[in-house]
Amino acid sequence: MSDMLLGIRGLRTTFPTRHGLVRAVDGVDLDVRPGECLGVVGESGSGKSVTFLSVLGLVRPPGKVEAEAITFLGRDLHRLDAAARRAIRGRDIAVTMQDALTALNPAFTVETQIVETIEAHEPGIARSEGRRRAIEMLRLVGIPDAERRLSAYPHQFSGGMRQRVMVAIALACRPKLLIADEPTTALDVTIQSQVLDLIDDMRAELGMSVVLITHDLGIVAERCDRVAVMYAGQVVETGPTGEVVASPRHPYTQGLLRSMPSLAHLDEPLTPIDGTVPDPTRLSEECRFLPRCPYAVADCRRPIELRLISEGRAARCVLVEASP
Amino acid sequence: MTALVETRDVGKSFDLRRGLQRLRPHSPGTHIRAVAGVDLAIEPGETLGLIGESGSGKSTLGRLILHLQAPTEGAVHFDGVDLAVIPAEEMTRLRRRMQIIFQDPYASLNPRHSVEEIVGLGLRVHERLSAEQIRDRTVDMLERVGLGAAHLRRYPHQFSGGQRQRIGIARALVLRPSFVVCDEPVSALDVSVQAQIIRLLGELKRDLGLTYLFISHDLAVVAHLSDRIAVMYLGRIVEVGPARSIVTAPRHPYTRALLAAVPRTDRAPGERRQRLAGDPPSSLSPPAGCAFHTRCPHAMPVCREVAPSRRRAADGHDVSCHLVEEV
Repeated sequence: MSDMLLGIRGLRTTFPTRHGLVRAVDGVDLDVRPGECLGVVGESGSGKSVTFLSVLGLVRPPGKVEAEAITFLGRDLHRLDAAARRAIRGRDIAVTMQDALTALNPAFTVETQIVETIEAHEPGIARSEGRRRAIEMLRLVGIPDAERRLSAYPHQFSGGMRQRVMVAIALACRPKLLIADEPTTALDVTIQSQVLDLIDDMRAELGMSVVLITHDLGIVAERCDRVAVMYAGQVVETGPTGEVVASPRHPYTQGLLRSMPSLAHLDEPLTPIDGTVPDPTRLSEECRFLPRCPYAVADCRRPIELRLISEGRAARCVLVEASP
Repeated sequence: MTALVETRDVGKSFDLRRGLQRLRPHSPGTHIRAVAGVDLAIEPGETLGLIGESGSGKSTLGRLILHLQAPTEGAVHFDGVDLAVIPAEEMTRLRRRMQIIFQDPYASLNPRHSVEEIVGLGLRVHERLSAEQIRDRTVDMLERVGLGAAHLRRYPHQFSGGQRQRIGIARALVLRPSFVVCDEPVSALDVSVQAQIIRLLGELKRDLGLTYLFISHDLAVVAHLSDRIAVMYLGRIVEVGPARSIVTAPRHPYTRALLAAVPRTDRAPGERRQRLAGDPPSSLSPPAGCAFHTRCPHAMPVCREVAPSRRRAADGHDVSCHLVEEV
C-alpha cells in the first residue's frame, strides 16, 4: 500500500535459549500511516518491543528475524544491508528507550550526544551548526536554560528532563517515524503527562508518525489514533482506538480492560484474567489465549487468523464473524 | 472507635553526612526531612490508601508506622501503645500483629530459601509449635493465597511475578497480624495479574479481619481498594478524605493535578487537561511556605511564606491549603 509509512508483513523473531526456541514475535502484520500515532499495547513478553527492535535491525544474533517484508517509504528494510539500514535508523526512524538513564551515555555531555547523532547523518556539518541545532532541540523539548544545560551530563538531569533529552536526540534529525518504547513507565504521573504532551506536540510540529509502545491502555486511549493489542507474540486485535476501547472484540482485550482499575467506575469490581501468559518456548498452534479464555469452544483448537471486522478493524478470534 | 494505628506529628530526618562530620552541628543541606508532621489515624478494619509520587516519603512513613525505622519526631501508637517507649520483648510480641508486604516480589524473597522456609519463618520465630503444626499452618496459608502444599519445596525463581507476590503475602499473613502495610504490592505486576492480587488482598482482608495501609503511586489502584485516601507531597500529608470523594471532588490543588494526570480510557483522545509544570522540588531544600507553591496554579503571596495548617473542609476532607476554608 502506497499510503503507508511503514508496513510490516509476516514478521517472525526467534531466540534460541537453553529451554528451547523462544518465539517472541510470531507472524505480525502492522501498518503505520503518515502522521498518525499507533499504540502497541501488551503485557511483558507479548513481543511489542521485540517487534520494533526487529524492524530497526537491532536484534542481535543468535536472535533471528524473518519477514515477508518490512516496507518503509517504499524500501524493504529487511532486505537492506547493515550500512543502508544504519543510515535510515536515527535519521528517518528514531527510537526512545524506556530507561533514559541507561540509554544515555553517562560519560558524555548532552551536547556531545545530540551533535554526534546529527553528524552521523549529516557528515561534514560544521561544529557550530551542530551546536546551534542541539540548543534548538533542547529548547524544542522544553528544557529551560538550554544553552547552559547543553554542557551537563545525563545524571545532572531529573528523570523527566532526561526523558526529554532522549526525545531531543531522537528528533535531532527530524525523523519521519518515532518509536517510543515505554517512554514514561519509569516516571511519576505528573511528569508522564508532560512527556506525552511533548511527544504529541512534536508529532504535530514535525509531521511525523509515532509508535507508542506501552502496557497502559489508558495512555493509548488518550494519545493514539489506532491501537494494536499484542498477546504471546501475535497481534490479537487492531482498530481505531476509540472503537477498540469502547467495544473490544477479542476476549483478551476485553479482559485487559476489565482488569484495569478505572477512576470512572469505582463500584465495578476488577475482573482479573485467570491464569498466566503461555511459556514462549511452548507456544501451541491453537489460539494462544485459549487456556485463559472464558468463551473457549472446540473451534479454537486450530490456528486462528486475524479476521476483518470492518474497514481497519480486525481480531484474532473465532467468535468474530469475518465480514465478507 | 479507637484507632488501631495513630501517628502524632511523626517526622523523620536522615543525616546525609558521613563519619565524623556527624559530630558537627547541623547546617543547611545536610539533612533530608523525608517525613514531617504526619497525623494519621487508621481505624480497625479500615483500608487507608497512601498516595504520592517518588520521593514523597510514603514508603518511609509506612516503615515509621511499623517502627522498622524510628521516627526522629513525634510518636506512633499501635493499639493505644506508644511504640517508642515499650520494652524490646513487648515490641517483639507486637511485631506479630503488624506485618508488611513489599513491592518487588523478586528482591524481597530470599532466593536460597524454599517456600516452606520463607512462609514458615515467622511461625518458627514467634510461636512454640511442632514441625508438623508449622507445616500445617504454612500449607493453610499457602492455600488461602492460591498456592498449595505442592509448592512447599520450590524456590522463588520457579515462580512467576504474581505467584511470588502471593508468597510474600502468605509470609506476611501467616502470623495472623491485625495490621498490614502493603508497600506498592502490585506495582511490579502486569495489569491482568495486578487485578488478581488486588482481588486476593480484598478477600484476605474480609476473611481475616485485616486493617491495611495501602501505599501506591497509582491513584486508580488505591481508589479501588481504600476506604479513605491520604495524599502525600514532599513528606507531608496534604489531603485526607473518603476514597470516593477524594477521586470525585478533590480539594487540594496537588490532588487535583494528580487526578488529572492519570491516563484513563474514558477520555477523548487529545483532550488536554491542566498540567503541572516542573519537577517536585528536592526534599534537601524544600521551598518555604507551602511546599507545593512552586508548581501550584493557584499560588498566592501567602503560600510562599506561611505553611498552611491542616483544616477540616465542609465535605470532611482534611486539607492543608490556604485556599480551603475551615468550617
